[in-house]
Amino acid sequence: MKRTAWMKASLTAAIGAAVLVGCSGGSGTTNDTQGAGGESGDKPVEISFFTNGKVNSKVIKSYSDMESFKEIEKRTGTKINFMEAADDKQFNIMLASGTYPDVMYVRGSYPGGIAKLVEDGVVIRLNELIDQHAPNFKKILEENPEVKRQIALDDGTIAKFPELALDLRRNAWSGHLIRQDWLDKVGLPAPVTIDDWYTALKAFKEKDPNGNGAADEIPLGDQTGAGSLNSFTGAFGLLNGFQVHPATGKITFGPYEAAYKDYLTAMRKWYEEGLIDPEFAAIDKKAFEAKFSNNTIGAYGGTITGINTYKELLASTVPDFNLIGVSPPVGPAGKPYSQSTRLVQNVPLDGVVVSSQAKDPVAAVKLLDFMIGPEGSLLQNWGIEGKSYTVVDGKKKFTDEIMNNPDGLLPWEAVYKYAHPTNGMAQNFDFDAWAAFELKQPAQKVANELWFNADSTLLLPPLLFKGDESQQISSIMSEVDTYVQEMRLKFVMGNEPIEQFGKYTETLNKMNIEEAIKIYQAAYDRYQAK
Amino acid sequence: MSETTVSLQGKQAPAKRGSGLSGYMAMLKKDFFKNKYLYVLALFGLAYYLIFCYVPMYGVIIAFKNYAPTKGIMGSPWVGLDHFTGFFQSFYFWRLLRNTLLINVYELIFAFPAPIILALLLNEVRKAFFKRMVQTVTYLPHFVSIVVICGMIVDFSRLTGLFNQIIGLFGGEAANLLLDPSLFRTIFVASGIWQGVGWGSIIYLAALTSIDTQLYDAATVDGANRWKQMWHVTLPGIMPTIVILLILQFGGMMNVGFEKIILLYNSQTYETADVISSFVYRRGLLEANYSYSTAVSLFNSIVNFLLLIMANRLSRKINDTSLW
Repeated sequence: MKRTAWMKASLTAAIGAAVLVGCSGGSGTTNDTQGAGGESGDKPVEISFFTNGKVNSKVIKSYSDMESFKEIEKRTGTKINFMEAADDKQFNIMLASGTYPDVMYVRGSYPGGIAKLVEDGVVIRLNELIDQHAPNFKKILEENPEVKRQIALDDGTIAKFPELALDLRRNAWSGHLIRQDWLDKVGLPAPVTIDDWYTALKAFKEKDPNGNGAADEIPLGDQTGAGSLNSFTGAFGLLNGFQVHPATGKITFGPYEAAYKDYLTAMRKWYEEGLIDPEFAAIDKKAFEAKFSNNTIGAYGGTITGINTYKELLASTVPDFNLIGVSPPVGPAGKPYSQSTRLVQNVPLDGVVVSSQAKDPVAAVKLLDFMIGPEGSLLQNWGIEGKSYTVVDGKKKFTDEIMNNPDGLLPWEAVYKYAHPTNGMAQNFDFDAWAAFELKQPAQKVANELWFNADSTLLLPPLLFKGDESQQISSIMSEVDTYVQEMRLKFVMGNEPIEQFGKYTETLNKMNIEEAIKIYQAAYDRYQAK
Repeated sequence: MSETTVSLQGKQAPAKRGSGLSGYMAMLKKDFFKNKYLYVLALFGLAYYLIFCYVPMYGVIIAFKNYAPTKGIMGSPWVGLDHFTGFFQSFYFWRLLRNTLLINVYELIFAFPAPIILALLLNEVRKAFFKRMVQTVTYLPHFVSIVVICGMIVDFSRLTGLFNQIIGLFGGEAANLLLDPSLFRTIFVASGIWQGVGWGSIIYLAALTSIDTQLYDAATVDGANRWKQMWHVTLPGIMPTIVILLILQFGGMMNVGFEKIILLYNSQTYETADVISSFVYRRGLLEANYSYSTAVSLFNSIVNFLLLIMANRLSRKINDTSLW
């Protein structure tokens, strides 16, 4: 009895000690991060950097392993501590924790955007710091007033370093893709109008273009729930969200327009006749690729990368495989309206910001300025000279280590060891570096050209909202988006008769869509006045 | 609670005269002294609940504020019941409520009795080897991650998936099962039963071992067959356990784990699949609308709490078994 009592006591003591240690450990680290400020001298300045995601690569585990960042650290005398989030939810969680890293990549999808973060005091205004410490970025802004217009908040505040595409051709990377080899088999030209599309898809369905004797063709496939479906609104002069109305030049919400009914009617017909993958609403990229590899998909809405990827994937099974990009279909609206918002945006809504808790904002700005400047961008786009690229006759070229990797890595996988020319954070993109990966095939060059020349009337510039506006938008649109998504599927799949369209727009009206349109219009007007 | 207090005071009364409270305190003091190590041990459990469950509760006040991470919980401005009225007036309020409750009613009807039946069946099995094998096989799915389970369900439900091939064997028409709103609850609850039935039966099997074997002997002497024995001895024997678990189930009537929902639903099945927790997940985590989602969660918890109290009351009235 005595013995057990003693054991109980020692056990409780042990547990207690463990709890205490846990607590003190926790508080110790917080003190540490707060106390590290004001350091200078020979030791490299430490900068914590919340990135745009986890590096998706076979060759490196983190941005800190990338040669270009090692070089950037060396040349700027900083030590970057990358915080790589597995998904964008982690950004919200990090914000909610109340402790922010020095430098953060903020996604455009963050509610209220960077403007809201500035207003909330999470992110600091950089105008003065840029003036004094960021000569490269300052020069870019001065030379490209359009870029400045896209970056600056309504009151002129500049709060982010962006990923910058001065050559907008780089942003023409998504659109309609169709199998040229199938078109040849059914004897049709590449579709131009929405009626051509119907004819082509119908022929895919009926004429067994994959030649296996079974009617297993899925004329229009889908990569991500309803992506392909959405890509046809342009023919009706609509986008799937807020847009510029092609006739009035005013802001409107695509799915609220009368013409949306025509679009839904057309899609309903396609779906009913089996031209659209019946599983499109519950599909992911993996399942899509399985269908594609089985040589059953004829067309889809996707990115320029697919032209090359699927050519390589199907090279052995379908020797004459040929996927091409075509212009956006022309429909009742009369023009090939593009739906790629980035076509009018040199700068996305995303960007790299300096947080209000940054220990050394000057060092952070200097680092970001280096990254977006010529030296840093050269490193990030091309990597290390002599290793990842060489210069021949003044033209840069990726080495064989990247393009024909001896270990069998794909070029985009191999390049990560050195650089990231196709996606970045604070970086001035180089068109040629991007083209080396995305425009390898002649068909890709054609697609890029076609998509770049599509009509960009409907597309909105990067709009910014004030605090109360963004809150209103988010509470309205949260319901509207769910409703539109749901109803679109119901109309197309026939669970809701198209005659109910009036009731649908009525519901949207009840959800205050008009109010949201007004807010967008105001933001658009402010943008035009900038 | 009141009964025990009375009886304790009763015991104490002859030794120490005085008011009820001081007598109680004295008794508590004595008891504390006698079992001091047990109290110290209990302290950690108490501290756990205090630190990790009660203290963070002050965070629910953001349901009444417009929480901005930078301003902190205290610094954010008050908005009163705005978020609550916003939710009640939401286009989706009734649908969310209906879906949440329906999934739970289905679970109550189909998933709750399943482990009881399994335990009763296992109890009747004589071959120890067979019994153990069945137990192991039925426990197994419990240890598989929900993400993996849902991945399997998604793959099996595809046009070319296992389920459709089986349906095809019987001449049915193939369709992606997860695109049919009317099937969602069935898939959700049925897969839940498959995953949880074995694990859930453990507690009943434990309760079964506590039944006095003499009762069975007596029943046999009285001429009761196996069926009658189960009905009149086994079931009443585990009834308290069943009732307690039933009450707890009622306390969770408004809960549906959002993980499984968001892994299985798509916008085509929102109409039956979207529940309060998945809505909170979308509004809170994806759209960073913390205050609104906290308000919704708080409403959810309050309804749960009321249901729990009601179920407990009812159970105490009907069969004298209750949580407190």
